[in-house]
Amino acid sequence: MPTITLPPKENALFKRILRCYEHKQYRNGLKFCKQILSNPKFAEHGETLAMKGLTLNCLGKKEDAYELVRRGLRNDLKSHVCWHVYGLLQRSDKKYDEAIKCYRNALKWDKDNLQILRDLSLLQIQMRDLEGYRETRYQLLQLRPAQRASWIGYAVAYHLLEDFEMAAKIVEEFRKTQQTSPDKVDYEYSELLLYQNQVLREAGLFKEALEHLTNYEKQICDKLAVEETRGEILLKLDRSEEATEVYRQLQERNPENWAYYQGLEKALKPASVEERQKLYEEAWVKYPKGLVPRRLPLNFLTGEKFRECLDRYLRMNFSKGCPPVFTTLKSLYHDKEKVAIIEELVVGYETCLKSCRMFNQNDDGKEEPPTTLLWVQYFLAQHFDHVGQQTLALEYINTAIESTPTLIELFLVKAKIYKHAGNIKEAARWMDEAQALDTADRFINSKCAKYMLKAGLVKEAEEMCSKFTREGASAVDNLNEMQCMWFQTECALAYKSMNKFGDALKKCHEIERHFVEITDDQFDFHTYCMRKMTLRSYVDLLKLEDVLRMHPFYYKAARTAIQIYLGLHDNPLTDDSKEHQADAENLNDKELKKLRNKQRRAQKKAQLEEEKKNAEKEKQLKNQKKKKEDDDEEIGGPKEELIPDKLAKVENPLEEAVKFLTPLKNLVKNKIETHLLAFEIYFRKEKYLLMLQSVKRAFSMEPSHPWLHQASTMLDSKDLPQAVQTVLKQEISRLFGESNPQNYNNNYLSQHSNSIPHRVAAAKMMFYLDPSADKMASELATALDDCLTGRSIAICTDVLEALREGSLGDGQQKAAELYRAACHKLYPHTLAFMPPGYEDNATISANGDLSAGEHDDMANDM
Amino acid sequence: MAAEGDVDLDLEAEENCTGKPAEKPRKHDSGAADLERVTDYAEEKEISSSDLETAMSVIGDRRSREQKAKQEREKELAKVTIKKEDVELIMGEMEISRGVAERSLREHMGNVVEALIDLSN
Repeated sequence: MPTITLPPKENALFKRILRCYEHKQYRNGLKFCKQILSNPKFAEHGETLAMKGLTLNCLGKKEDAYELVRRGLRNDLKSHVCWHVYGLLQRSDKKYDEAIKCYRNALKWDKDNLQILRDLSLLQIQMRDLEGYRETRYQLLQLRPAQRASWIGYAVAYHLLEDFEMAAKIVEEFRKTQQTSPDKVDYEYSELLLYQNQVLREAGLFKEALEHLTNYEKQICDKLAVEETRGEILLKLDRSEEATEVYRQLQERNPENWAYYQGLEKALKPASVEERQKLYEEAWVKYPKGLVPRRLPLNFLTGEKFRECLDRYLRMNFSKGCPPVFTTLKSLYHDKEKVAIIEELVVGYETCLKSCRMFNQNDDGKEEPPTTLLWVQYFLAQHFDHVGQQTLALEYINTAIESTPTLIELFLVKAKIYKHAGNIKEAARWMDEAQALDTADRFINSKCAKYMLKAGLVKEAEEMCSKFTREGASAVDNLNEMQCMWFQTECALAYKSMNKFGDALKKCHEIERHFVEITDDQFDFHTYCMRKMTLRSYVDLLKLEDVLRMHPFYYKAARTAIQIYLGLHDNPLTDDSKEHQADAENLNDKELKKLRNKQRRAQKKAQLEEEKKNAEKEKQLKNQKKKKEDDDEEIGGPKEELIPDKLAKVENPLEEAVKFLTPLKNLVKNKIETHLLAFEIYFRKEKYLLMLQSVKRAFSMEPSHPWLHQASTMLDSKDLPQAVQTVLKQEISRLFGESNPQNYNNNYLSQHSNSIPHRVAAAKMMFYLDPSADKMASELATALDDCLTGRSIAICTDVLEALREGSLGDGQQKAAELYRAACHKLYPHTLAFMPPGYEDNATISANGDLSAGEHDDMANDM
Repeated sequence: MAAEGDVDLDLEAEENCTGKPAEKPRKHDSGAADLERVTDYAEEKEISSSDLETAMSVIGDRRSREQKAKQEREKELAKVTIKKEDVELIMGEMEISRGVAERSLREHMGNVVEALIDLSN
């Protein structure tokens, strides 16, 4: 209870202040606060001060707000209002842990305050303190059993704690209390029923779930969900006949949904390939235009049957002129036999179409239009690109372009072919050509920007994107605001390859902030979804947010950031860049002075520009703030600006790297790369047990991964605490058997002597363990015989770099040149293997202004 | 802070002249306040008390059982003796919080090597 109780007049004013806050009438609220505080008796009234602070916070005056609230709190430590307000303040700044503490304090003084309990429960679910959430929800339920939200909240708490039976019970009790008339459409009740059914299913109570579904079917509005759920449950209960019925009906409803065919297969349980195919043959008859029933059998058919089915499928698609045909078949390309059949068939089509305009010489019937040949050639270009024959692929696509020079898809594929061949600059050029054909197409515009970024053309990419971003703002800023993460990840990679680490880190941090925002966004939904009863979506949202950082965008950003931080740890940046140092050494005093003056002037200019930019930004912010003042609350504090220079010169890069690594360790355990990155970080931090952890986890996924081999060899224990040494020794011998690294390396090599990536790993380790073995290591790594497996552009580039930077021995420059020449013969298009002095003269202007023919010749001759 | 149910809009102290003002010169409100009010009404829907009683008792039983099981587990773990240096070692080597380190050590009956092996999985 508050220490000072206000007399009736002031009390009425105080109540008005509260109401004003709720209705967001902040100025009025401040007026009333003034009225109370101007009275000398209540000038230090804690609660009023706190409310004034809260109101000011909503108007953006954060510092004043905090001061007032703290003052109010100090004056009245026993007031639950003051603690509550303090908690609200912390919450608005996203300091959720602090806010929870404040709420708990508030509850000490007013145990059963509903509003505080509600606020606390929101924070608990936001922070996923599920046990706490359940407790708070229980209290709310006891205090207000008549409210819907109390029951629902309590049920959801159990659901999230995976105590499904309890959750189902609570939902059922709640459902019984709901009165609905059967002829009115009650969407909320329908959603409640579907949620209840979901909980029953997750509890494994399939029979009950089915009964439940049948009983309440009429009142559920989402009929499709009913049928799909019914099918699922029947399959789980092994009631195949009924399941078949359901899936046939679903198939009628939508014959292009893969899931229904899969359901049918599970229900009918075909014993042989023929029976399985029969299922689809029936669908061919029933749905003659259907593409899915023709595509799915290709997954399990083989040999002649595969060929027949494929023939029919391809003809349908080529005649129709369907561009993504190759994409639909890409998933079959792991099977070499199928790849051969596809190749034979389609190459056959191409020859026949060229000569007699039909797919096959034995066909009778009308001729195919010329576009069919075009799509066949387009397919072949993609096919040969995928199997690694880039030169042949280019031939096909060029033929296609000759016949139809205005089709964007053709140029897109040509660019892709160059990218796979290792010449990203050429690829970017062709993408530019493609986008020039239709500047109103945002997809191709984005693709072009992406390729430009891959080629390191950051400014050009920004210009390209600016054609579609908002007027008046810089493209980069707008893209950041729109959370356009594909752009930012590529940009980060581009900067990294240019050694602009600060800029790259800025992008990575911006992406990290997007993820933080997305996590924070869920806050409002905790109340909203309970209200609207959209519980299925709500629980899905929570589950998504739990694993948010599993997303590939986060992975890319984290990986880039970690690699940069590792690099910065190994080679920290100093204030004068290395270039300047080198120049300064060659100049005499006078020239040195001139240089320094020039540098100083440049720095000052940059500083002034920076200040001007900041002043502009502040002005803009002020204007925006004025508009915002009367509207909604400001969410969170103003974000600290990301300055590339500061980011690159951070004190402790390894700690920063760990921040990016932690979500990966929790959520992306299945990618071996996570553990390899973790190892690199812990190696530099000298945390041997964490290195061991990374090795163990990687080992459980892929025991003979080449990189892993390097890592495990480096797990050498020096002077470590006894316990740690024991653990290391025990675990290493358990996993690898051999504890002598050199023996282990030799064994590894003899086991995997036919695989290039493994040889390279062994070679690097050979040199690491014994620097005198550099010649042998280098020979081992640079072998390119045809009989060896795993040869690819990526590994060859890796070896070339290793030779040049010294991880296969010092003074390997001659060997590097020989290797480069050998690789060039194998991969004529790849930029990395081009002879020294190969200059790309043409620059890309913003609209594809290049002489296509000339470049083609140059590239093809090499 | 929510004053439930009270929908009084009498804000402007000056604007209380002629009974009911014809057209309030209010600027566009985002409507959020209105939305809040609507909800409060819905939540007041009464659920009949008899249903409540049986429901609450079902829940009550379950809760007491859960509490008991939890307490017993905690008591077991608290009995295990652990060394402070071991906890610190685990914290440092595995970069985890004191709470997690302690718990792991307790669960392995104070054997630091086993705890470390388990944590490094």
